[in-house]
Amino acid sequence: MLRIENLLKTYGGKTALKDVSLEIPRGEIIGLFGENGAGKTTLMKCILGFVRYSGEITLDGDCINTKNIASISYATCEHSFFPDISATAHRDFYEEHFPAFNRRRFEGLMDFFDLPRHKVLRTFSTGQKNQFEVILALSQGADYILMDEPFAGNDIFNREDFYKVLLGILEPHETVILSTHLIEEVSGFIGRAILIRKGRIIGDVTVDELDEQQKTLVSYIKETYDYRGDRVSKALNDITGEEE
Amino acid sequence: MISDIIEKHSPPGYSVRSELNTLYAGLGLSLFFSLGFFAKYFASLNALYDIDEGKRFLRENVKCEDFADILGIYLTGFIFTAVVMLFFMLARYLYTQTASKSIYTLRRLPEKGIEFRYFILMPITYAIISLLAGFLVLTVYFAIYMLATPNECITAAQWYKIWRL
Repeated sequence: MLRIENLLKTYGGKTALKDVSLEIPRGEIIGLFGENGAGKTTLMKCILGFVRYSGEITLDGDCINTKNIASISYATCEHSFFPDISATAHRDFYEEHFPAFNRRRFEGLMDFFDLPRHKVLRTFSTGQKNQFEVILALSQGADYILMDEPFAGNDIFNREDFYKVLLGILEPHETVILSTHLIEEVSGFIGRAILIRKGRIIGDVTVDELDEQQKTLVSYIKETYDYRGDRVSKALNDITGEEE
Repeated sequence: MISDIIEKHSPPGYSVRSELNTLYAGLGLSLFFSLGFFAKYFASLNALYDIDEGKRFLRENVKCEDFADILGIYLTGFIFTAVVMLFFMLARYLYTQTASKSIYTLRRLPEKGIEFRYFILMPITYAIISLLAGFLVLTVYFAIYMLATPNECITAAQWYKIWRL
């Protein structure tokens, strides 16, 4: 269980996260939604220990440190691979450092995405880089797989392929936390949605609960975000000076 | 083989060749600059002698310039090289921040002291190598001074005078 309690993160006096408390058991696929700057990336960086914070983040009751950090992997649109070595060299590096590295999954995903094994990553296209970033995160052997906008810049076919593969390969103990703006795309395969706004959790709902309430994920998010449907027409009226 | 050891203590893909080239160049230039010691030393040594009818005679009660004074700044190249090599700590860190954020992967490795291993260890080792090379050159030059200078011309506590600087 990944547990976050009373998380507070500030950047030079500006609050990035406040009063964030979450419990994330194994075996879930979670969508983390929020506008740009809401705190999604900061939340992931806090979990990974990349930034200092107040509050408590534990994994199975223990603080996250070198003893259990291998249980968490991370794929980011910023990319975290080494740009000047090949995919094969990455595989060897991960195998050396992450005891649970899943070589079979790595090779299978490399074949599926048809990525070159011996070219340095710097020469990959943006789509290939994103795919490889995700392959590493999925192959590390982690129980918690954090993905921060992993497909920013990828086309719809790439993304659809990824969703299918993800659903097919995940084992029951693996949890994926996927930060994305592509709400409709992921609504079909996530089991829980966490909404974050201005550094606070404003919504946390399972898909089953939404079904019971006969709501779609998109409608729930719009409702929780207090989305004003007349926003566009009002803005157009203001700009053009025309009344409907 | 040296490259293999260094690569094992460097971020994957980082070019250790530029570090080694800088170290070799720094050591070479430092050694070349230190040779200026001999020009000054031989001038001091020659000043101990008078020439009469083509023969050299040691002047009476003359003392050779202290080793430390002759040495002057001729070994500073090694110190400069050591300082330059320390900047590779920054270069290594920046490597993990450009083109991709591979620093994120390094920080997630389940080992302690990763940042020390990948960013600090080798540049400090280069700096120590440069300082040790400088010390070796110092020792050799000091031995030459002590052996080549007439005993009666050497003032006491030459070795200690170096550190008094």
